Amino acid sequence: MNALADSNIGHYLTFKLGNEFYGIDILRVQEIKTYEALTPIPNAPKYTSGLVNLRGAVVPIYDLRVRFGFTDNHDESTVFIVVKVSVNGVDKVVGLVVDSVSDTYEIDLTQRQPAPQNEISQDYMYGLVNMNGHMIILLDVNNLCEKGL
Amino acid sequence: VDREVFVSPLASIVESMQPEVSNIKSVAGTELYRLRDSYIPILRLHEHFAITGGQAEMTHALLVVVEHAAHRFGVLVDDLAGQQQVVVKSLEQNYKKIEGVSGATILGDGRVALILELSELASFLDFGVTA
Repeated sequence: MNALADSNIGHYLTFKLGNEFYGIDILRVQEIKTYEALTPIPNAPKYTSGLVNLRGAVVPIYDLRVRFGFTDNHDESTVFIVVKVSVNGVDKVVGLVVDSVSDTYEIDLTQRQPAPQNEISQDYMYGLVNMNGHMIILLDVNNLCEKGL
Repeated sequence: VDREVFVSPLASIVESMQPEVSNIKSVAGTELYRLRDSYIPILRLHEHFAITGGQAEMTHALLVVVEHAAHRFGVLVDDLAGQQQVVVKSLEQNYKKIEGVSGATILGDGRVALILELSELASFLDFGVTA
């Protein structure tokens, strides 16, 4: 992420939670998977949807919609975005449930606006950008997984 | 338990039975089961793991008697699914430690099942009574 920030151009995958557009650094995205049955984790927070078998690896799935206070209806566009993150220096693979994946954009990070302080702590937000009239909220998935999940 | 599948190490399982109401006792709120000449504490797995839909009526459930470090205790489950060899997968690699669970495995149908850590489950029970 730092290398991208230096060049001031970032490639972001955008997805929807409710009617809002969010973006994550595309270099963190490993794959996008259709929604499938999960093994629930006992005594875990509500946004921890469960565990899934990803080609032999056991991967936790977090529902970003629950985490950020959206409704968690499943339909055919509901997907997992599988991301590679580094939590306290350890590389992990986690899945995030989102309502739908939209598009990838090349984003000029110098146009980035600071995010307001709200329930999605500023720690997890890299900033706001405007793309074709949509406001895209850039997420810092690393920080989100380290501090927010 | 409910629709979830858990895995317990086979070597620790002593026996399983359908509990009889007359053998269920309690001491200061801890449920005990009279197994022949000894009393063993009971762990209700669905309560411990907060699973809704588990069989609350003990006589409709199965009591699996397990042994850990010379202590015997009963784990209450809905049904036994059978035995199979499994490959233990790390949970901590991508997630974190789960209380009472030693790891995970992938079942034949691709689902993930959690493997019980009996030593941790045992520590939730009071071992005033030993077998």
